[in-house]
Amino acid sequence: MHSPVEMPTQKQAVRRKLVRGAFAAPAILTVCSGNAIAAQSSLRCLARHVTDGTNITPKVVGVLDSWSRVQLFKATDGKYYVSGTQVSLVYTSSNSWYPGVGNWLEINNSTGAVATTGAYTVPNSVMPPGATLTYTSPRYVVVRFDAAGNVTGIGTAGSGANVGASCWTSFRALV
Amino acid sequence: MTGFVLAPGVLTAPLGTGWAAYSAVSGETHLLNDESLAVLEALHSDEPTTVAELCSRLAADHGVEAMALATTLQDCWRPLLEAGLVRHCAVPLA
Repeated sequence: MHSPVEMPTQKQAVRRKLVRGAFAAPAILTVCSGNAIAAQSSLRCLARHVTDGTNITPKVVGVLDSWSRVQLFKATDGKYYVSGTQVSLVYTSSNSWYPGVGNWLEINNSTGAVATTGAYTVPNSVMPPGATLTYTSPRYVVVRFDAAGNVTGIGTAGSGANVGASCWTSFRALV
Repeated sequence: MTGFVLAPGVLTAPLGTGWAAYSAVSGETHLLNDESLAVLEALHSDEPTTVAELCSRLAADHGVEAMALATTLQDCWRPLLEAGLVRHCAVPLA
């Protein structure tokens, strides 16, 4: 690319292309960034999650939730886990969605949801199960948290989900 | 009296049957037809050009009447300004 005022050869090229005696109306079209559009779409999707009571994600009244990305650890048994220690670096909630320092929260590889309910955290003493964690081909889920720092969801779909499945498709590119 | 200057950092390149123009001011890329690029080429980055001067210049280059060209161009200034491709400025009195 170059500056139009510094390239006489280009100027000559333009003038050759224009038909003498005819000068149409100038046209200017803005090229929009696909990423920007996707971001706007995703953020609208997230906004609906906290304002639309019919969505599967619990509606938050009064205070908007926020989201951030956490990387999944993969154990040699093929299962994926969120590190409670990592989450605790930012969030200090003690509610049921918070794995806790030293614990690992299993995420279903297929659904992106928390693998089980109830006793779904695995203590550090048994995790990793004789395995070395890997960062190869990193995968992510989101942590949803409220203004007080309470974790209100982890994962991508299912019960306690952060975002709906369709929203996750675009959201995962951003978080 | 006011005129226009080419905005700093404007880059252009041929794209298909038209032109792509990047504005460092807006950070956006725009698609232009030949006429829009001709307008940009007729402007200077360091010396304001009045609409009358620009129309005279383009009219001479393209064999059209300056008055008719002024009418043709009257709707292009706002989008060019909003695109960050040109700037509006005062023209010093001679």
